[in-house]
Amino acid sequence: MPDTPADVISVTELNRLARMALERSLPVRWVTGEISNLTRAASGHWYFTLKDANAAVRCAMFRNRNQFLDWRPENGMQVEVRGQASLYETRGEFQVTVDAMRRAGLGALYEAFARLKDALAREGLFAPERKRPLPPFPNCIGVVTSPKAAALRDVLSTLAQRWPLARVVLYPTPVQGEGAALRIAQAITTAGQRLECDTLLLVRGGGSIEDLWAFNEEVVARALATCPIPVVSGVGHETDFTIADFVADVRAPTPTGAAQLATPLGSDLTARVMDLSRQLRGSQRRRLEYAAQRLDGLGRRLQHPSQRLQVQGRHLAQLARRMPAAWQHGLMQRQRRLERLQAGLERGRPRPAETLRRVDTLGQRMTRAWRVQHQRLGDKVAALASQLGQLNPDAVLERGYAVVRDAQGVILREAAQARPGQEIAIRLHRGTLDAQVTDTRRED
Amino acid sequence: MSKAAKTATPRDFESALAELESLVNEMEAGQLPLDASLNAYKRGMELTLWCQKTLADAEHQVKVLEGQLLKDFTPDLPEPNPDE
Repeated sequence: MPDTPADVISVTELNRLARMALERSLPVRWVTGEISNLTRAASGHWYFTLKDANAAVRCAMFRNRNQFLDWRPENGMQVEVRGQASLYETRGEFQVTVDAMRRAGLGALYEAFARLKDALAREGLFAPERKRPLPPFPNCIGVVTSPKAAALRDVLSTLAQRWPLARVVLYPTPVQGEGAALRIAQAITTAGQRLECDTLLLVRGGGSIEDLWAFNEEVVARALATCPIPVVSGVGHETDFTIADFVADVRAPTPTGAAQLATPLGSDLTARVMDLSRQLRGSQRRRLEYAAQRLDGLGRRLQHPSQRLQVQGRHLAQLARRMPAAWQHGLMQRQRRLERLQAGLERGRPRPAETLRRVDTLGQRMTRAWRVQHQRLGDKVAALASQLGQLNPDAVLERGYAVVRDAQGVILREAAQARPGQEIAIRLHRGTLDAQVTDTRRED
Repeated sequence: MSKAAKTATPRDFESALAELESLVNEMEAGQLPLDASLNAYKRGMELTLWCQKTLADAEHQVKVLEGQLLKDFTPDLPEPNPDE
């Protein structure tokens, strides 16, 4: 077989091709089997063999996947793993790289959980209107859990720290394993019958889903539903939800959370009491100040008669002091007024000699004025007489004009005013002619 | 004057706090006659002291039900399981 060197592949190449072929043809899926040869390496990775009656396969579950597991796989456990069938190339080993693991049969458990949850929800056990409020200051807190549980210590220390006033009664019960659910239910019922508590805590620390399973049983749900005391549940971790959580009046994420939700914080209350006390003192101080002020006000208005007389006496003395001054003042005012009037009178007094002199002067001025005026008037009359002479119609007649009048004395200015035969009078410079019109001629 | 006449030891912390709060409210409203306000103040101070004392002196009592009997419970607990 004269193969060319190009057809020869290395082992590395072969394993790589085999791994790729495997991963292509075998998709990720769930595989069930029993754990054996489990090794937890210092690196945090887990290696084990998964086997059934007839076959076995190497498995690896790396730290970044196994850290999410909330339970501890052990040799001999029946489990289901989800992983990629592959080839560990370095050694040419067929193996499954596991990314999830669950205990076999858990699928059935989840189904039962979902069925019960639906049934109880339909029955109304989770209804919000069923939830009862917790007393704000509980006097007695019941705790249903195992006396050996670490959760109990967390709860007790939280209660002691926050609200030591409440007595605590522990109703012990196993919280996991065979028959735990029934015992838990009995403890709840007992607490409800004894009725010494006003708040009930149902708690259990974290664990695998199987560890918490008792809290998913119907008998616990029923006991909670009929419990006369309001219940706070705190089961497992924050992410765990059990049926008990849904039925409880309040669901807390953890046991410590349940203790917190059930109690007020004592230090808050101390501060509240101090606040109230301060307010009380402040109010009382204001009330007393107000009363004192009113008392003072009334005291001022309440006077002994002698005190009143004294006040009036003082007033009288004051008035007496003011009287002479007032008198003096009035007198001076009158004096000044009199002086003013006298001055006025003096100004108005008649002075005959002076008046006589003034009359003489006036007489002389009048005579002078009269003469001037007389002269001026004489001249004016002469001028007017001359003007008048020129206007005298007699003067015109003297120059040969005549004035013609009709019988009624009306002056005729046009020929048309007269008719032939009409008698007229013609006035001349000296004398008048009576005549008769023989003819009229118009001259335009 | 039922409030002022009250002198009994409070039934529990809740009722003491409630009474103290209502006293403060009445005082703040300023409607109380002087003698009533003096009584309210006295009662309020009693309640304050009682509340403070109750909070300060509270001794945490834990009992466990064994059979039909309540017995003192001293937590004898293991260290927390590292898996929890």
